[in-house]
Amino acid sequence: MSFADTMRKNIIKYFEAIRVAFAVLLAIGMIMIVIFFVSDQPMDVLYWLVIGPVTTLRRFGTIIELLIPLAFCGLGMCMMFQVNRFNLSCDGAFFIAGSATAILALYLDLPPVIFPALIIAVSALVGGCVTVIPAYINEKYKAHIVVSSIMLNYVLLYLGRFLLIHWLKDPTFSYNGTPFFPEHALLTRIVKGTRIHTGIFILVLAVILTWLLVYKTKIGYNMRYSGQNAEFARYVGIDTKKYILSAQFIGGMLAGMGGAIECMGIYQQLNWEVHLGYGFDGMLIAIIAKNNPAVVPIVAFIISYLRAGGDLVNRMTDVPTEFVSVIQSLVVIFIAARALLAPVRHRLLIRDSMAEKGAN
Amino acid sequence: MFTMRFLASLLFSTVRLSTPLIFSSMGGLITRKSGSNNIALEGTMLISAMSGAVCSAYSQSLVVGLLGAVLSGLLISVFMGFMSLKMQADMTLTGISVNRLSDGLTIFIIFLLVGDKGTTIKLPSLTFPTVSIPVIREIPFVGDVLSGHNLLTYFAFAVVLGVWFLIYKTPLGLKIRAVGESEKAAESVGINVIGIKILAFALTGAICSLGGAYMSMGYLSWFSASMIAGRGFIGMSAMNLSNARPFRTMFVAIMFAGVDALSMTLQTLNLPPEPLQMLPYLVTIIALVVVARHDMKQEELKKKELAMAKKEPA
Repeated sequence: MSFADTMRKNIIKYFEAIRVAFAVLLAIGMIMIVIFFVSDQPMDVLYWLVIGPVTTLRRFGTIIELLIPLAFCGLGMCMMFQVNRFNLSCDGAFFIAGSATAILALYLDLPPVIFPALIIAVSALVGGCVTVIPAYINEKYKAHIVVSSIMLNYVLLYLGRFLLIHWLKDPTFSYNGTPFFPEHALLTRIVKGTRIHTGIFILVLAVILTWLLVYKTKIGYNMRYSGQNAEFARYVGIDTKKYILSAQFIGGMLAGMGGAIECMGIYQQLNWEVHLGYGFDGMLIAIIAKNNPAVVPIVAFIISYLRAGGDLVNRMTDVPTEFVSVIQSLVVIFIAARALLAPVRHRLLIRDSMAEKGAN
Repeated sequence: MFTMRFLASLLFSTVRLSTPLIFSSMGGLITRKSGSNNIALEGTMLISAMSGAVCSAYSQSLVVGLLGAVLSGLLISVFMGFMSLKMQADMTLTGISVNRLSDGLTIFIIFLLVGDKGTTIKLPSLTFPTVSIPVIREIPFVGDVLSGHNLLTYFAFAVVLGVWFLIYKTPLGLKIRAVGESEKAAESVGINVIGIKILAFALTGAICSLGGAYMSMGYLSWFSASMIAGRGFIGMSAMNLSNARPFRTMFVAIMFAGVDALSMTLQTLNLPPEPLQMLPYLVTIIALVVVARHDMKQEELKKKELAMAKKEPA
């Protein structure tokens, strides 16, 4: 076999990965062209986006700090997509879990370790419970899940704000924020000079458990079947509704855990007045990771890098950080576009089989 | 007398707030009729609200502002249609992404133009004029409610009629419905299915963009990043709840606007605003459930009747 043939075989084998890379580069390229036109310092934008996040320990720390909530939302969206449902309530679950965390951290007192563990567990349950609302009305009444979950996010936003402003807030602050949580209700920071906290270990645990659940247990198997081929699943006697709902419940739990951990690890108080908007990043992560929890942290790292770079660009140049959301949305659309590069793959496949015929 | 005045102002706000909902629901209706599920109404409105405010401010011309709004809404909608239909991207995913894209893009652009991520309040944007209707404004209560609205508000009601006419009375409407009901059948009689579907996206974009333009050039006189606030989704729900029938959709949209108006009016009293702000979204969820339940019961009844009818001859 000639070198060209091996090359071609490899390209076909890794075509999905190449396609994803192409989509990412295409999106970044398009936005960069725009930035070259509108910015006075386009090279600085490129520098801060690509090199910026690794120039100091503190900046590198922000990547890891941001990776934690992004990965939790990514895991949550993996669960939604495993059962093929566009439940977008991760944002709401994340947000309301912050309120639950603040209430528990301020009004309860338990010994260290047990305290944060209990807070995370309860917040996860809260997240799961709210996520299951649109899931339930979708299964039972076939209400459009995208619409109901986004409406729910608004409801939770105002609920959380109500709790914060009329109950939890410390009136001595000039902004809407709760008092800082007691020391033993926090997640310890583990790397000096950054805000990286013990939540990262919980994330590792969550990744392993979610992966085991999805790919190594009967429950996970049933969930995947219920989502991908409900008719077949029902035919072989799987109670599809139960599995579809529980997958989304777990997805909401993961998002809720992320909210609690973010609140206790980074903010150390509750001052969220708007959605932090990690739900969409979670969706992007789940799509690139092909809904595989094991891949989520790696993808979350890339997205987090992009976000950290975007924040630096915002601070150091004349371009606002929102160009990152534009890149992200284009990436989702380009990856989802099945026809993108399909003619190339088709041509490669034909040439490959021709070469094989010739060799025989 | 206070209650009458209160009621009149509540109904006036209802009409006012129904404008964006009617535009978005009528836009969504067309894509729905063509068999697509366009959930990017929200983003379409946001983009056109931004470009309407910006274009009118820089050109100092209402026509240019309106053109900017309509063109940008049309473009983003056609982009979504093209990516999902021609490039075969999942439509729901594309819609969610277009909404997010609009969030980012609008803030990106207004920051570059005015250096503010929240609003374009610094720009001298134009607004559409309000219209005082000659005879009706003289009628005591009715005049207070129906007269003195923005030009686009009256246009919204005209658009309902227009959409009804387009869908049910024109050859193009027939094609759109044919494509929506059965792609294969439509294709077999020589209709360009994807072409019609993308055309439906274009129409949807143009109509939704009027709702966006109303928000930044009528309801307010500037653009703010969170100004659509779910109105695209609420309009879409109004359309889905009434099974994409134009006039019913309009009434449901007005009802949702009534809730919105109630929430806004009560906020001027000395009450905590958050539970009231929650109201429109909560009502939308409840309405989705109630109507779906009702539909399911009706279907069961029909099935029972069918079963009875089958039994009777025997």
